[in-house]
Amino acid sequence: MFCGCSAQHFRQPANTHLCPTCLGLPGSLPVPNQRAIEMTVLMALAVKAKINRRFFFERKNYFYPDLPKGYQISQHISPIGEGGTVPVLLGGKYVAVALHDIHLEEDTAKLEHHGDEVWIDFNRSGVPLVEVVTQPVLHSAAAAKAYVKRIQQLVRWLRISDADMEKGSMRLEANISLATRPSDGEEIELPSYRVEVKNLNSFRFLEKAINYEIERQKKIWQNGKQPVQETRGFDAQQGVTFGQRRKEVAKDYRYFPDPDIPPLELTSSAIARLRKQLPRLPWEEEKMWQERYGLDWQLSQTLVANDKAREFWQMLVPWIKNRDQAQKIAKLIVNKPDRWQGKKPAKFWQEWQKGQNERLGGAKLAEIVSQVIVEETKAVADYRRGKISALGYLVGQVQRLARGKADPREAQQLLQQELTNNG
Amino acid sequence: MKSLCQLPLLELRKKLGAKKLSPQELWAECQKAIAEKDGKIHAFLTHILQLQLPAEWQKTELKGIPFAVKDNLSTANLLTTAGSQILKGYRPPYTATVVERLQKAGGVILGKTNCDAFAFGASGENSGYGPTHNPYDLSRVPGGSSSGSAAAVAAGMAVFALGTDTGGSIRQPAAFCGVVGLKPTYGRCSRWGLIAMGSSFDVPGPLTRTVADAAFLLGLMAGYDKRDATSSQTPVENYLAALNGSSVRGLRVGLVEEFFQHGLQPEIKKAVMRVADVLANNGAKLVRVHLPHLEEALAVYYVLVPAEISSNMARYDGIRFGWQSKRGKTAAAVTAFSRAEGFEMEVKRRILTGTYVLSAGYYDAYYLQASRVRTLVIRDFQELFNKVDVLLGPTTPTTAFKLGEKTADPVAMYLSDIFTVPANVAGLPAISLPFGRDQKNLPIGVQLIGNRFQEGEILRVAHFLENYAC
Ligand SMILES: [Zn+2]
Repeated sequence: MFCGCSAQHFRQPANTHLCPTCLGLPGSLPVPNQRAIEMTVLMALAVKAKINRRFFFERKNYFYPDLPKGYQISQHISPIGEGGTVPVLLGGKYVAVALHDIHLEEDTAKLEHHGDEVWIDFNRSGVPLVEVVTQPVLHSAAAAKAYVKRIQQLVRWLRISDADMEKGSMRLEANISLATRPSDGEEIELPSYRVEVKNLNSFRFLEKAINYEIERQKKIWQNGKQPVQETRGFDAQQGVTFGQRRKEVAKDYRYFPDPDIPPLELTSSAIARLRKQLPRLPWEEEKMWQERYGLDWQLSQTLVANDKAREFWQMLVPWIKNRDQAQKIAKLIVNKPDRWQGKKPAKFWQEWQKGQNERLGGAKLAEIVSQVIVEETKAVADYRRGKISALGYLVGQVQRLARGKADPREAQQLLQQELTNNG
Repeated sequence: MKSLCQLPLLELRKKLGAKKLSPQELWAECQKAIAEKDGKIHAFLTHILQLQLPAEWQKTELKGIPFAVKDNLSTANLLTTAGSQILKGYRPPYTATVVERLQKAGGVILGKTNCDAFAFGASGENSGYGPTHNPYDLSRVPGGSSSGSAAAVAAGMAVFALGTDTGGSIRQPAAFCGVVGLKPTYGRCSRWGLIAMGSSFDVPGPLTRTVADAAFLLGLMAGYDKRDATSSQTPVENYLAALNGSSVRGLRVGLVEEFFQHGLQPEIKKAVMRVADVLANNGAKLVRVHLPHLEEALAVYYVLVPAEISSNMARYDGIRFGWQSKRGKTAAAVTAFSRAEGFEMEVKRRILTGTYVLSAGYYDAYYLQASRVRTLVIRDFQELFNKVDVLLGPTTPTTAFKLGEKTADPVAMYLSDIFTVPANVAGLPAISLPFGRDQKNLPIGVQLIGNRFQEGEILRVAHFLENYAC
């Protein structure tokens, strides 16, 4: 973030990307990385945060072995972005998750525990880190998970980072507190404590940790006590959170403007230029397909979330003539990747259309239907006795013989016709 | 006869260029002077014996001239302790920009000079390696914190030296030792590799025998450095050329009233007035002006600098470099013991003060308030420079005091910075010029302060005055 060293730190030999600045050597100085600032602005613009045109970096002073200077260069009073919302799909509708701020800071070194010893790999020290902080607006583990997935998608979408949890290029911290459910129309009154669970390195762990915390805190409340404010770790094997042994004194980071970095100013033209770079955002694209082709929200979300599927879909879009075609193609792309992966879009389209036309061949379908009626005596009998669900099974059998090319509606109509006529 | 290394740099450069002198001879002269004098003066912490001349030194600007470097400027593979025990044995893997630029210009490092630990101090007595003595009177301090740099030049052990100035650390020892000390505008010279004290105050600069030497060196040292975000892109002037034919006719010289109070030693006052007369007699216009926030400037300094120090000192953990305590079984204990043993008393005092003024509940009253007053001081100066071209005043309230005289009284020690600190608070360029002696035959320094990036102006006036300095 403040030196020229490579930001690649995953599976690199330890302590190979170093310079005086990221080692915090005496006399070294930080110089802010223009590109990292621009990417943070891009992120802030994407979520419609207020951009602080004039911002500065501050020193967050605390002592820990992974922090070579004894302070972290971060942002406190003037984050690059303030406020903003992230549209997340929850229970079939879009919910705008309100953000507190988006700020830029430097990453710390990585500690490795080897028995009694702690080794420090400084490769990660000084790598740019964008911290996105929400307001206390998420009310379930599922909501939190949907939100962080959305952030990951957005970060990849904007090519800010691979946001790969395994590589440590995306990390999660959850702040959890429990409040009584307010009566209708009233605001939640936030409790006076919060429990921070740190270093969650997968979406699943985030969900587990939150659910565990909800239960743990509920029990404490039920015993008439209030949980204490603390930082907890998460034990992935046991699926539990645990209090960290470090003594939690009231933290005073003694923030003050970093005198090594003059205040920075974003010109309107720089912001305008970045705004122009902003692509159509994932949620905008989801809505676009919903509106244009009537795709349901889940289908459009899945389609947009998968890069390869989306790209393939986009190449087919110019040929799609109507909603019916669009829905069929979208479903096929999402549900049957083996039908299109590795194919050229034009070839795929040709084949698909041919398949569609084949389906219309009424005589051929009628033949199959007759065959099924003859072979599936038990199901036919069931249906005739009034067991309507047998029909679905019979349609499936027709489909099987038609190698999936039968139009399910037409097959059903034909079956019904045949079964009633020849009763 | 004067020893060779007592000659001005520009004169030596001419001799070297004309092959009337070899760099080896000059090097040997410096070595001889060090061997004779430094046992008593203790200007050097590290001293290099073997001359390593740069290739094609004849084509360079500095032609192999040896120079001394204050020990808080990083030098690759060469001990750099900043005068503190906590950095004992530390050899940085890189070189400070200003040093590197002089090396590229053909200068050769002669050694690293003693200073108050981390440059905290005004007498050289806070060094973790014992004090430096004033070459004019060994029982007296050379001033600080660039104590060794000033003493080395004054004693003729080095042709010139680099110092750093946070609150007067170049100008005050220059005044005490009778040499020229230039503190450039904040941002004029890169701080890359300068071991930070007060990051928003620190500036490296030269200590020299003549004003022209300082002008020449500033031209080599100054200029934007992409490794220092606070370094300025303002173009570097040809400071040396600007000295030619310098006249002071029409120059508006401000005499700050407040500079003549505060227990100013009468002989120093007299010297400043003599300078004023010389300027007036040569057509300059004297203007009496006020700096209403002078005392506040000192208060601002002693709040903001410790605040920055408290944070800058956090990296000294006794584990990765420098002094490591033999006591302590855990990493945390090693850090605690190393700091207890390695940090000098004044360093600890400033860390405590600084931590306090940044703490929750005190931040607004101290740090924030001081930052606001700093802008007032800056505004004061801006208004002054609408009326005058340069400000004239004393560099110090007294001439060199005795070793041990003020060590027990930090406030008295802090007050010896009162005339130098304002230029740092406002980031302005200033120069201390030797101008006569007091009754004890100790050097007196007068100070010229210029507007931002007007180094050329103060150098020009100082150069003019040099002829009258006797
Ligand atoms: Zn680096």
